[in-house]
Amino acid sequence: MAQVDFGKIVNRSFYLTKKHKWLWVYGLVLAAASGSSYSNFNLPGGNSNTSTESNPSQLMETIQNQEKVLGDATTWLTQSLSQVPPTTWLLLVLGVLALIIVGIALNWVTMSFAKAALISGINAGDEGETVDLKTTGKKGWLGIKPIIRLQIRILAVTLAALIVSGVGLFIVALAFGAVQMQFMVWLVGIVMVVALAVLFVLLAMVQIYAERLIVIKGMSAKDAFNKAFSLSKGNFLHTVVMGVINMVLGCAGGCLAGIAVLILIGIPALIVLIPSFARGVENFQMPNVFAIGFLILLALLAFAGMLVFRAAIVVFTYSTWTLLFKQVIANEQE
Amino acid sequence: MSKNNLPLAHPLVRLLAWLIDVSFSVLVTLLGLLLVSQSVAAVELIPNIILAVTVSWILFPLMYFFVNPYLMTKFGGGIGKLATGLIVVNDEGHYLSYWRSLFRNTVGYIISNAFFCLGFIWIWVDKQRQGWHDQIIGSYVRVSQGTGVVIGLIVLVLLGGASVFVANSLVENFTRNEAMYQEVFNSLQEEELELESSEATPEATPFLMPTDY
Repeated sequence: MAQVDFGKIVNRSFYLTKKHKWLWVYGLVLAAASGSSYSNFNLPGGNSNTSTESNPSQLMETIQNQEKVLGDATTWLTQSLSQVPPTTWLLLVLGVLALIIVGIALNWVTMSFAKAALISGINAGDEGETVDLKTTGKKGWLGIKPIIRLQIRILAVTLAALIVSGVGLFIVALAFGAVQMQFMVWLVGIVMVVALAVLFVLLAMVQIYAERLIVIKGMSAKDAFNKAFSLSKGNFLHTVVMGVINMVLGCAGGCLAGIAVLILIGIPALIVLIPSFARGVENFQMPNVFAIGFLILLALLAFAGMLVFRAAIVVFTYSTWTLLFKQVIANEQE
Repeated sequence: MSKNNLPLAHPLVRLLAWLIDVSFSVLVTLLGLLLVSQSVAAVELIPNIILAVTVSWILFPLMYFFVNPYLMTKFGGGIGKLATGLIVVNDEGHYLSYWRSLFRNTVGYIISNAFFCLGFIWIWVDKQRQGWHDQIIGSYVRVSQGTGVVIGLIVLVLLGGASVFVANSLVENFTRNEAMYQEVFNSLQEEELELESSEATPEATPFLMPTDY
């Protein structure tokens, strides 16, 4: 396997990210789109109003009372809803569906455009060409359709893999008797999870290479997908290493940025808020209008700073992948 | 015929065009609320709300989403730009295609809004008076009619006046039917209290032991 100079890639990516700040615009869009990856852990909450200890007859009376109250409450609602003509309902449903479809389509088009424009901009920057919104916008426009087709292809493979795994597990569960079922189902399940994990990692790599094959080499989605698959298999380790480097640098950068924000924004905010706590927490005094205005300004600055930082990280990450791709292609041609 | 010889639009005129578009949207929203305010009986309230939401806040935005680029393709601009005598053209001085117009008005605006509307503010500093949404698609906003500013101001005043009139009617209707809204609100409040009181009996709370009550 030919060698890849990761140090050179990282240094060059830093340089490209710093020099071509127009690319941060696309980084902003992609960062905003990926910003909803945080998961909210909603702990299951119990309904403390349901009874498990009470007398059954009293429970029935409670339920009947509730039904009577709810019935009164919904009578008006039911009567009102029945007055709505069917055409209005139809228009409402169709309108909502149309809004959802338009929203999804718009998201896909925006993301595809930003990716294509960013990749072409990084490539142009690496080649010493002009990098601005005009030149990258043209390339971005051309990349929309093939990248969307690529996404559909990858989604189809993912869904197919999930369906096959689910059906396979179901068949295994049916095939074995009650005594052996648990052990065999568990074993097959673990194997399937591992296989799926490997497939998803491979698909992520395919996406990285395929996007660059589309934008830089002008390939179609189908050809790019197939070529990317062979590139991913042949350079699996290099790609994993690059991914780890990106993750570590991204995390380290995030931590440093967080600390910087804490110091630059947090300390002034604290200084402004301290007088409000002069008489203790119980006797908190609302800050004056100017202090509130200043705090809002600080919050906006912090938000803006983190936004810019995330945009730069996105550009950096795309740079490393693009430069790795170019190195891999160069190695292949040698 | 190429329109590249037309002068570039001043940012203030583009702002006027934007204000006209916004005023139009506000007027449609107010008309939806006016429909709701015309409910004289409680049973009319929900159907009118659903109709207003469907027409004003779902169908109209969808229609605007698809029709505005069409206007841009045929006449060079949406309602605001046409009123102020502005047109959107490409590098060669021709109107944009439908898909490029749609792209400019959607993805382009998203990009210009990406960082505190900096893409729109950029119009003031760019020599070609291009925002980020113009740069990525290669469009220019030019002045096709010198009197566009006057007409635009008149249109804005008319739209503003219409909005004020509709808002006034809204307030009158809501005030006239205050008793009906108060009755609906009171009955909902009463039923909510009844529901809470029927659930708050000790037997209905499993985690309270008899000794805790």
